[in-house]
Amino acid sequence: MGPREGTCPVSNQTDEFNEFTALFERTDSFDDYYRSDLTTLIRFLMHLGASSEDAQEIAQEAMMAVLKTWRCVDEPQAYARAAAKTIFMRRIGKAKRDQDAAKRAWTPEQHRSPFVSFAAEAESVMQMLRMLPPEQREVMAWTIDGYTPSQIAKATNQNAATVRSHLRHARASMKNHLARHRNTTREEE
Amino acid sequence: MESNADFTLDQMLQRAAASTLTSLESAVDVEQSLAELHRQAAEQQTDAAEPGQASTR
Repeated sequence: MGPREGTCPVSNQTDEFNEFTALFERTDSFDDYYRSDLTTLIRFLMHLGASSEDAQEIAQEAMMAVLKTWRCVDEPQAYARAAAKTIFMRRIGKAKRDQDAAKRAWTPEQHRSPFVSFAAEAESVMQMLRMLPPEQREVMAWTIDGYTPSQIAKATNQNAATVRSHLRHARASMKNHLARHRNTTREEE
Repeated sequence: MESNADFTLDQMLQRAAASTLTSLESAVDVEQSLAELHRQAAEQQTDAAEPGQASTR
């Protein structure tokens, strides 16, 4: 999922500047990729548990990582998601040291004034995802973006069986939650 | 029963994902974000070209 071996040599001190400038040359193909994937990358981050504002910032940071390695990346969508997850986890670690930031990161969208509002069903799915353990939530976020367990395993450097196990547990938890919610609604009626 | 629950979950996830994307597409200015990304990249390129010089930001 990372840069292609052999096609992107590790830069040495002499070549560093030339390579750096070459990587930053504006490419139409990168622009097309950016336009097609930015909002789905933001959504992926929100499924991981980021607020919409943080997701937008992190997506931009991940896109910068993609731009820097554009000529070497085989699968930019997967690369961007892996980079975005790393940046998000770094932010979570930092947020834990900062109570205010931590609260903001985990407050449901409707309790703040986000730059965008979402339909009730979308909000409740994000709430369900946030109740899952992080590893299950991550597998669900990749799955919602259309990745198979094998592809997720490759992109996240995990065993495919582990990914399938996380997916199975995540789906079971979400189905239980839906069943409980349905029963509660019936009782209230 | 089990397949019903799976079907319901999948349908809900699909609808929610599509709806979230629609909301984001109407709220995010992709062209402006792309222009900003290239501006930042150019700034980093300048910083790399002038090692030791403080950024003007």
